[in-house]
Amino acid sequence: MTETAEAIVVGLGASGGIIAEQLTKAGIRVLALDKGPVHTTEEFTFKQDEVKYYSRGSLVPQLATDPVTWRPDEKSTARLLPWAAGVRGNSEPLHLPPSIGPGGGTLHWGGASWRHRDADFRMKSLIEERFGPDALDEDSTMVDWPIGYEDLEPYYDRVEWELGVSGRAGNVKGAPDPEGNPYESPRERGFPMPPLRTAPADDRFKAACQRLGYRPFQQPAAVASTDYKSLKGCEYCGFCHGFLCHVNAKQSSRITSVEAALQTGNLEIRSNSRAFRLDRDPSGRRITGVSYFDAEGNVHQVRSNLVVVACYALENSRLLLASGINANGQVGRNFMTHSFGWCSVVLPEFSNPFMAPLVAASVVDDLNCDGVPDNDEGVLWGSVLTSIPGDLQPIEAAHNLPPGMRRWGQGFKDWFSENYRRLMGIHNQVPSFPSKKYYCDLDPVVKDKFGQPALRITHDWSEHDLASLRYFEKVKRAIADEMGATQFWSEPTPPAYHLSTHEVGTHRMGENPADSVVDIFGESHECKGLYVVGGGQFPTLSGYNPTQTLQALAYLSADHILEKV
Amino acid sequence: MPATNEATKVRWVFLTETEAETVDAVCARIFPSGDGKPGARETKVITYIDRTVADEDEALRRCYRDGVEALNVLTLDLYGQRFAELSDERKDDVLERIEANTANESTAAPQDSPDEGLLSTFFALVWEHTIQGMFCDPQYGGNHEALGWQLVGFPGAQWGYDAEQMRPGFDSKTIPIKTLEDLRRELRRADD
Ligand SMILES: Cc1cc2nc3c(=O)[nH]c(=O)nc-3n(C[C@H](O)[C@H](O)[C@H](O)COP(=O)(O)OP(=O)(O)OC[C@H]3O[C@@H](n4cnc5c(N)ncnc54)[C@H](O)[C@@H]3O)c2cc1C
Ligand code: SF4
Repeated sequence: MTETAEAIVVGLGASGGIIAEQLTKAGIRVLALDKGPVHTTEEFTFKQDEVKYYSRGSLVPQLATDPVTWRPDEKSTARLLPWAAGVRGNSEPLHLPPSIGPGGGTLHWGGASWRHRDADFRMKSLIEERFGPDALDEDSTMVDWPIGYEDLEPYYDRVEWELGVSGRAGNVKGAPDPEGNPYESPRERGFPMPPLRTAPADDRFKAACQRLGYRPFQQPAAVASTDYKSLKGCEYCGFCHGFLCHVNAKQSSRITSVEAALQTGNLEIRSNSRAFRLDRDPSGRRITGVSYFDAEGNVHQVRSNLVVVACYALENSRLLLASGINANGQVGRNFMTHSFGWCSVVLPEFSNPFMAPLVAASVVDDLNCDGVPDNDEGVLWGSVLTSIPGDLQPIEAAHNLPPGMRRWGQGFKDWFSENYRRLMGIHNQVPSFPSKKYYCDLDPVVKDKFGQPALRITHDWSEHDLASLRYFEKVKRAIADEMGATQFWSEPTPPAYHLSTHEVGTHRMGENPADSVVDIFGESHECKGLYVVGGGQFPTLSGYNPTQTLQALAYLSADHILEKV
Repeated sequence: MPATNEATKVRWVFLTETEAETVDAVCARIFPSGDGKPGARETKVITYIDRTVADEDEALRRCYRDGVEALNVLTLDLYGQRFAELSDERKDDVLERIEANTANESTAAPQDSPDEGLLSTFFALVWEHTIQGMFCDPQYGGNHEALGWQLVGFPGAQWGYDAEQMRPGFDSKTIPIKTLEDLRRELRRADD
């Protein structure tokens, strides 16, 4: 007998958790399928363990069970993500798809929590206005968003107040606050919690930036600075990004939305349950349910005429493709990600980089979005620039050493024992642009353990990405000099990896069913009753981290679904 | 003169005596001792590696088995001695040679490369494990008595830090180091 559910949510991460909460609170009985295990808070009491979470990547999917392949272009043969497929299986544990189990990526994210700026929704128009109609290359598939900042403002507000974000507003209803972000688009009200205490070296960064004429302010963070709703105030333990929070200070859908949904009594979570096909009626125009494997590989089918797929941008596109829901050929197109520009400095005094979360930091937003100055490198769009003063444990630190230095022997020992406590990072992230050349499809050869095709990513860093990395490297070098850094170096560019955990664009939203996959509410143009949500909806990526925006979109989708049912 | 030390005299869970001796000799070149400060030997990195290899998958074990053999074949060939028997200068020369090869290789699928690839993968692996063994929580068998953490000034498994400790320039070596076992003990005490 086939089982029936009122609604199915596949994936209980950042976006799926929100939708499950909204639907269950409205009285809808939701069946949630998640391919990962259910994590409990007790499990994470002793999470101060770099080997388990960083070296062995126990929270991230393993390539053996969740293969993803990559190739730089169509001429090359794709292979398992080469930067992660070493003997240990996860040489770059933080450059894999986010973690699995209710909570998803918010189990071990950093918690940088950004609203996009007004300009981010009109990237294409603004670039063309400023740099001319030929500024974007001929393969570009960039479009403006079908919605604007003002459409999302109430939803951003909900993320901040319902889930909890700390920070200092810079622009409440047009009134500037010099302590906040001078570039933020107007907001109805401030944050529900004040900013975090900053990590030790942040003061020096902030002062240097001010002397250089920038306007640094404190990073808005999905980390509680005080007790707030189900969150507890941060204890600044510094095992944060890549780890779970032992006090529940870090906002995770596991403890916010999923917990609230469970309390309604209307949510059933089926963990270790992996969706592999979205089922449709004979016309293909309507969703009828989901097929999934349980942990033993047995196939189950659940029927429902309301299905929300929230499995992260990559897996979402794989599910659509594997289900043959791609009549217009747009699924998996427009893949975008960030190239990270990590720089490190050695400071003259102790910076104790192992204290505090990554986001207890200051940001320079002067060069972000359309604020990027005219430049010889041809950089068309900017990036946030942040200090990374905290959350650095020794094993991770040893993986980022000055280039040219021998990584072993007495010299290395002396350098590392002298300088580990003086390290600090400066970071920026360059949004890649959508292009005909960069997309995801199903790998013709590699399959997962259930025989389902792996997702194949075709992506390379473009000239523009590299130019941006070069441009921002100079800016960061100038800040480091002003800080009095005794050493400065950058991680190699182009980066070896092509996943940053900020993957977006693969099921673009738009009003025209011919060139997009879902509408602004996340509903599939092709298949009614099927919602596909998350960063995959983004028409463009911004210089900011994506999660608060995809959380806002999830609230928007939930409202829309509730209006219809 | 075979290199012996405290660590290599214990019984190994997975490694053979020769394997332990060779790997330990490599670790000791990555994080040397002899300057009055702890290195890979004092922190018992080899114990960490033995346990890790015993726990993990076949590919990793193969890499150690085959890597040790290839390394000793190479040094017997060059100098008529096993790696562990070489002088420190010769050991470093050999490791530099192996590293130089790494630089020419792509990072691609090291498993199916020929012997030279095997040696550089092996060295990369021992490097990773040496770092882990130096700075892991002591429950994994390395970072003996938290010597690795003491060396670099990392206070280990803390519940958190207060505003005073977070002042710029604060000397973190004044914070008593804690391990996961210490945290467990604290909670047990709190429960009593
Ligand atoms: C280490 C790290 C640091 C990060 N830091 C930041 C940051 O500071 N700021 C920021 O904005 N973003 C950050 N991110 C990114 C952030 O985590 C993601 O943007 C966000 O989690 C994406 O939300 P989502 O709902 O699309 O998917 P996810 O949160 O990834 O949730 C997907 C869920 O679907 C489940 N799933 C997947 N496939 C299936 C299937 N076939 N069947 C059933 N279930 C399935 C997974 O188990 C998971 O629970 C970080 C990510 C990582 C990994
Ligand atoms: S630094 Fe704060 S938010 Fe991060 S894990 Fe520790 S207590 Fe939690």
